Amino acid sequence: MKLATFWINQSLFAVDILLTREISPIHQITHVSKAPPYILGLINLRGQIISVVDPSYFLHNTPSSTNKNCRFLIITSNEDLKHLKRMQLIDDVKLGKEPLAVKIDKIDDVIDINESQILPPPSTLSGIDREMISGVVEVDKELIVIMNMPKFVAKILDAENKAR
Amino acid sequence: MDERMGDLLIAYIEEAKDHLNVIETSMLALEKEGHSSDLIDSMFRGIHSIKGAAGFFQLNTLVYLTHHMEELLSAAREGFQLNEETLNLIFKCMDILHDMFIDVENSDDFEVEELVQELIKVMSKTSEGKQEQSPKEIGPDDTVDLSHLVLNNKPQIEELVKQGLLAFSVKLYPKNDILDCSLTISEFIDQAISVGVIIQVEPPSFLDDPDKKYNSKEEVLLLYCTVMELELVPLALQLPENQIASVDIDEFTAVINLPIPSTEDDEKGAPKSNTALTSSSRDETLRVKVSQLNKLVDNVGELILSRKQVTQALEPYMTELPNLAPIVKNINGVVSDLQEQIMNARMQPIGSVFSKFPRLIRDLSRQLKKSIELKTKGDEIELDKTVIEALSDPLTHLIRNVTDHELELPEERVENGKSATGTVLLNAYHQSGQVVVEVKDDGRGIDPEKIASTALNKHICTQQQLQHMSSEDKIRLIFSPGFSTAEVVNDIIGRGVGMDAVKNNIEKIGGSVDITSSIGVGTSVKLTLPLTLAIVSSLLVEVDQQSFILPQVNISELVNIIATEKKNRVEVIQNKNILKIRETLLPLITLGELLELKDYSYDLFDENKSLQIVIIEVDGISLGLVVDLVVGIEEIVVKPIPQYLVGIDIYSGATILGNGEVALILDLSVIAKSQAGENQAQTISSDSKELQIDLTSIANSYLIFDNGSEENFSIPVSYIKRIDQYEENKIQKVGPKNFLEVQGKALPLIHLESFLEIQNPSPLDSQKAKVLIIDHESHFFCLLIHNIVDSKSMDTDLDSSNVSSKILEGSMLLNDKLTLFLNIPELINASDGRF
Repeated sequence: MKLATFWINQSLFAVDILLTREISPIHQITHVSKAPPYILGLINLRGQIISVVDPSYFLHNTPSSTNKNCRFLIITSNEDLKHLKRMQLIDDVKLGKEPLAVKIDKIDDVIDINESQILPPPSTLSGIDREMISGVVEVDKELIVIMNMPKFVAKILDAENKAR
Repeated sequence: MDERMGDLLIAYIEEAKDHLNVIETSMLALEKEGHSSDLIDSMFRGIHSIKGAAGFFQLNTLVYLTHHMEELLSAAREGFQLNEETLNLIFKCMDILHDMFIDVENSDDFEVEELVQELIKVMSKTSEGKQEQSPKEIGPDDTVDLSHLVLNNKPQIEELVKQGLLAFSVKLYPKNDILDCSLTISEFIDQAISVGVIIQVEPPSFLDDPDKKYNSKEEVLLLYCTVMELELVPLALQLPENQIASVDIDEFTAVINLPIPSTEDDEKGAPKSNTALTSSSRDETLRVKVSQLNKLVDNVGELILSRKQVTQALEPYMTELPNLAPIVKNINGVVSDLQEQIMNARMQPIGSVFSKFPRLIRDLSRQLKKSIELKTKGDEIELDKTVIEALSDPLTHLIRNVTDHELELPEERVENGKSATGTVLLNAYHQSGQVVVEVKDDGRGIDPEKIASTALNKHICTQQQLQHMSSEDKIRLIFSPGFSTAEVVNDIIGRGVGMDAVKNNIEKIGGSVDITSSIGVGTSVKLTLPLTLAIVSSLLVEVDQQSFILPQVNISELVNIIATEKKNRVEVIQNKNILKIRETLLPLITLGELLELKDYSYDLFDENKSLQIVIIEVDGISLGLVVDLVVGIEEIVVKPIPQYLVGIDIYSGATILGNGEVALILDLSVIAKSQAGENQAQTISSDSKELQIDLTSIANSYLIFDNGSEENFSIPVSYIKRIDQYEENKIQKVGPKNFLEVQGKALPLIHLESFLEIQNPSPLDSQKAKVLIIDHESHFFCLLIHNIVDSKSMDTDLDSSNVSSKILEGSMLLNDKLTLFLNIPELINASDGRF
C-alpha cells in the first residue's frame, strides 16, 4: 500500500494515500468564531467550502503553529470512497460526508510499503492519542506513525455531536 | 442489491410516484366528470407500468396489489362502471401504494390482503356482467391466430403475468431477422432468454435444431414473456416493431402484424394525440441527480471566479493585443449564460406542489361535510427545487386552515347568499423578480376586532398599540408568535393554529407572508417567495477585517451615526446599550462581541468614529447590530455549513465571495432570539435628527420631496449620501453663497429656487426641512428641501416634452401629482458658477 507521509509537530505521520484527495497549498482561512478550538476555519477549495482541522489537538493536545511549509492534506469524502470500494481498492471504511482539510506542518514523501511491515504502536509512543493510530512502520530507520483516518474523522464528528 | 440495481430502483420509485400522481389526478377528474374511457385508460396505464417494473424488482406485495387493481381497471375499460364505493376503494389502495413507495425496500411488510379481498369482491361483480359481453373482435385477415398457443400454456402464462411479466407474440423470419444480421439462432435464443421466458415456439424445430437453414419466407412464432414494455421488446430482440404484439391472455387471442404502430395496441382506446405526447416528452427530459447539479453550480461559481482573475491578469495586455478584448468578452458572455442555464435546470413548476392538494381538498370536504372546489392558476410558474420542497408544508397548513375554519357549511353559505360550494384558489404569479403564491378563499373572512382582543388577552400587544393599528395590521397579528396555540382553536378567532409557523417556514426560505381579509367576502394569504434559494441578496459587512453576510430579508434599515451625534443617540440603560431611533429605543449589540471574536473590542463612544448600525427585524424583535463597516449588497450563492461545524447555530450557511474568500452567513433569527429575553423595546418619544433610507433595491429607488411648490421633485436615491435635519445655525454665509458644515467640511448649500421658477413657494418650515447631501463623482453639495414625501422603487417613464430647464430630466405623474425628476450632473454644472 502507498502512504503519504508528513510532519506534524516534529513527528512523522502517514496516511493511506487512497483516503486523501490531494495536498493543497495553504489558502486563506476564514476563522469561525464559536467553533471548537481544533477547527481552524473554512477554506475555499475550488468552489467547495471545506473545514480545516488542526490535528495537533488530537495527536498532541496542543495547537500547532503556521509557517510557509504548511499544507492542507485533503481527506476524501464518503462519496469518493464509494468509487474506491466498488473497485475493491479499500475495505469498508467510513469518512465524513464532505472532504476535510487537515493542516500539516510539512509534506514529506510517498512511500510504498507492504502491509506486513505495519507494526502495532509501541508502548513507548508517548504524547500521542493511541486511538488515532493504526500502527507504525519503520522506513530508513525512521519510525512513521500511521494515522487511523476514519477514527480521526469519527472523533471530530463525535466531538461535534457532543458539543451540540 | 448491487449498486446498479439500486440506481435503477431509485429511478423506478421516482417514476412510480409520477404514475401515482397521474392516476390520482385522473381519479379526481373521473369522480367529477363521470365515466370517461380516456381517464380510465390513463389510470390503467399507470398501474400497469408500476406493476410491470415491480415484478422486475421482485416487490411481490406491490405486484400482488397492483395486479388486482389492474384487473379492476381493466374491467372498467371494458365498460364496468366505477361507482363511488369502488373509487374509494381504489383511493385506499393508492394511499397504501404511496406509503409503500416511501419505504420500498420493506414494501413486502405492508398488509394489503384486506384491500385485495375487497378488490376481488368487486371484481366478482364485474365478471358477471362481463360474460354477457360479446367476445372481442378478431382482427382482419393479416393477423395470425395464436389462440392455440396461448390456450396450451394458459396456466403458465397466468402465473408469469401475476409476477408482473407481460406476454407477447413474436413473429420471426429467421433468415432475414437473425442469420442475415450475422447472428446465430442460438445467440438469438440466448439473448431472448436473458431478458425473458420463451413459453413455446412454433415450429419447435427452431429451438431443437439451431443449425437448421431457413429460406426468407419461412417464419417462426414465439410466445414470449418478459418484464419489458411493448416498446422495449423490439429493441431487446432486435426485431421490427410490427412483428411483436402483446397477448391478452383473457381473450386467448393475439393480434399480429397490425399495420398501425404497436403501442396503440397496448393502449387501446387512448386518444392518439395523447400517446404521442407522452412518448415524445419522455424523450426530451432526463433525470439528473441533484447532487450532480449542485456540483455543476459549484463549478460554475468557480469558473466565474477564475474568469474574474483572468480578466484582471490580462488587463495590461488589452491594448497591446487587439484580439484579446473580444475573446474575454465572449468568455464573459458564455460563463454568465452557463450560470443562468444551470440555475434554470434546478427549477421545477409549482404545479408539482399544487397537484397534491386536490386529494387533500377531497378528503377534507368529505370529512367536514363541506362542498369545496379547488382552483389552481399559474401551475407552470417555476421555482427552485429547494423552494418548492419548502413550500409544501406551509401550503398544506394554509389549506387545512381555510377548509377547517374559513369556509362555511353549505347551508350557512346559502343563507348568506353565496353559492353552496366554497372556492379555494391557489394562484402563483411573478411579481418584481419574485414569485407570489396566493391562497384565496371566499369564506367568512377574519374579524380584525376579534383578532385584536385575542392578541390583547394573550399580551401580544398593548391597548395603546392597538389604537394606532389599522384593521389590516390587526389581522396581521395572527402571525405573531404565541398568538394561536392549540387552546385557542378557531371558536374565538375563526382561524386555526400555527400561522406563525407558516410565517417562520416561509421566512426561513427568504420569503414573506401577508394576509388580507374582509368579513363575509373571504381571505387571501400571499406568500412572496424568492425564485431560488441558492442565490440570495444579502448585506456584506466587516467586523475585525472579517466579512460576514446578513440575509437582506431580515434587515429593516441601515443607520450611520456620526461621531458627534453619538451622545444623543446611544444611551446606556442598566448596563445595556440602547439606540434611540425615531419613536423607539432599540437594543444595540456589537456584532464582534456577540460573535466573541478573539481580542476584539469596540468602543461605542469613541469620539473619532461614526457608528455603522444594521437594524434587523425578526419575528417582531428589532435590534441594532454595530459593525465595523457596511460594505454593500451582494448576490451570494448560499452553501450549507460544512458537516464538521453544524453545532454552531449562529450561522445559517456560508458563501464564497468575489475575491475567493469564504464568508459566513449569520442566522439573524438566532441572534434576535438570543437577545429577545434580555431586551425589550419600549415605546417612548425621541426626536430623530436623521432619516434613514430604506435599503431595499436602491438601484431604481427615487426619493420624492416637496419643495414648497405645487409640484413634487424626485432624485435617484443612489446620489444621496445622507439626509440631515435642516439646522439654520449651521449655515455659513460667504458673500451670496451659502455653505453648510457637514462632518467638519463646508459644503455648498443650494436651493432649487435659485435654478427654477417656483410657483407660489410656501415658507420653509424648519421643523420639517431636510438637507440632502449629494455625492456625484466626488462633487459633494447639499440640497435644501422642504419635506420628504416618499421614497419609491420604480421604473420611470419620463415625459421630457414639457420641461423647460436643463436641470430637469423630465416629469411623471406620481400619486396624481406632477413630479419633476432632477438631472444631478446638470444641476452640478449649473450650480458650479454660483459657488
